[in-house]
Amino acid sequence: MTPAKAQTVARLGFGLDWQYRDRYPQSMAELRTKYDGRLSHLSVVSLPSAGDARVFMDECARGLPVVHHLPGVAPAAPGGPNLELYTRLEAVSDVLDAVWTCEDIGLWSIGPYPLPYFTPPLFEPELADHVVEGIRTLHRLGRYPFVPEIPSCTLAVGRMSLGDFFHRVTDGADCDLLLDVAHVFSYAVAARRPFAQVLRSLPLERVVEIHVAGGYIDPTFDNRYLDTHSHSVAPAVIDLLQEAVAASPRLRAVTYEIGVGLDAGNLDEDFGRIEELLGQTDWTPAVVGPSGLAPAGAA
Amino acid sequence: MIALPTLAPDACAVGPGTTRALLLRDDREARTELLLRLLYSKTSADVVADALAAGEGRVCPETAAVLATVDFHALTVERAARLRNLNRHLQRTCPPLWQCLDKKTLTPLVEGYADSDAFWRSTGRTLFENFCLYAHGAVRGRSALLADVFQLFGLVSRFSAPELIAPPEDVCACTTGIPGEGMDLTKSAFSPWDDGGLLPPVVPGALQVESFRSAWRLVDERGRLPRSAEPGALEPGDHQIVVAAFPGHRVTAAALPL
Repeated sequence: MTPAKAQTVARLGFGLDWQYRDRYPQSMAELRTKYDGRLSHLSVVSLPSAGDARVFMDECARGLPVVHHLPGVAPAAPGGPNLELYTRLEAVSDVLDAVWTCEDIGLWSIGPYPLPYFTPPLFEPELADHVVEGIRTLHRLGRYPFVPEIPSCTLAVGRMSLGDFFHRVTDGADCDLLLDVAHVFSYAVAARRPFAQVLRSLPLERVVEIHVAGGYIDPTFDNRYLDTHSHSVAPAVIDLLQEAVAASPRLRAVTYEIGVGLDAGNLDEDFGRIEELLGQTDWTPAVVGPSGLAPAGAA
Repeated sequence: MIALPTLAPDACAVGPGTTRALLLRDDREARTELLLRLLYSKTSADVVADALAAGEGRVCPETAAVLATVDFHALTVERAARLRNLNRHLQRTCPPLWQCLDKKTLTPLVEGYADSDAFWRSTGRTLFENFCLYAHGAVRGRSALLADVFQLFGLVSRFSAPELIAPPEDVCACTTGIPGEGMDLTKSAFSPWDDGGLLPPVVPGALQVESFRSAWRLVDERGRLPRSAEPGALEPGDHQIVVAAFPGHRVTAAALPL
């Protein structure tokens, strides 16, 4: 190990999408090697089978803890969570030995068809209560903690604020929370609210993981933030990250989600920026499995 | 011959009656479905805006209170973005259809699909096949050739690899990748397509075979799909178009003279 590496504390992980494994600036496995010693964990989405999960573990994770990001289990769906998909994906979680599972809260389907893209739920008490029921079902049936994630919002509809909605969800389900600071920013942009105020309105005491990623505001419509993961992280999102880390007492992991449109330079620059920001705090990651997680509200 | 239960002419237009009925219901599911319809259907958005303006009697009060929070200008921008993404998603699912037909033909059909009741009915095995069923019904009154082209591509996609949803790069990349199990080709399933009254031939090694009658040779002697549906690009003549699925989601097509 080089002296520089010996001094490095791994403070953040990558958020990766298995279906793009060969389309990042380097392959997933090469990225893992390039950032060896600087990664606290990996988060992965779109693994369709246990077999793919084994390849991921052998070629990419190589001993790092893994968060299993679910796709489309959807506790907010009108009929409740897709338990067939959830059961199938638990076999993937088993291979990953997932420290927890997570998913953006929203609508993923038109009937049986996955939507070309996802929709945040109506921000209404009846929807929050429905999500609570769905999360309770997942907790009852599943072997891994399910952590709901704040969704990206290009349009916000409903009488509740994002903060009130997620207080009701996490209080009702007594669960942890995944805070995506770019998604918080997207809501603030769509709702024309100060982004720091939106952040402070959320149940930060329940946050165990933070996501950060790049994106941009639609140049033709400034109420619309596009969470592409393929652009640089916006300065306002970095500011939100800094404030969120300081205000989240139970934070375990910070995940930098990357997209296929990022070039290696942008990726490295943003990784370094986030790493440096985290290095200036006294926070250190603790990405441990279910048995190591303190229950929600314990802080 | 199999009837086409969802391809009656009225299925090619949006049903404002459905939106109106949803507006009168006082339940979570109806409000959620209204939100989704607003995101894809201009007709539904117009019905909702009219009902809100008309006031009492046309919207359940609770639903009216929820819909009062909609920024209709932002909704228009959002809907346009979603239609672009739907278009790109369908194109990426089956690029050969976009090589065969031009955007001037396909884009209005995609927009019509999103604005139709067919968008909300799961007649096809995949979103792409459902679109082809809609497009087939929408064009068959004016062009039997176009209708046959949509049937061919719909059948090919039906047997191809499962859809794995990966949204285009300008949408939230977090919400990507629902891994599909795909159709179990070892089990026969009801086909929503009109087989033209023909029994499909036995194809050795095939897991499933479907066919239909066409007045054009839609598939050439090497099994290649059409690259143009312009008059003169395809050889006329009564044919049985056969699409067969093999293990590993391999698909072949052939045109047998009748």
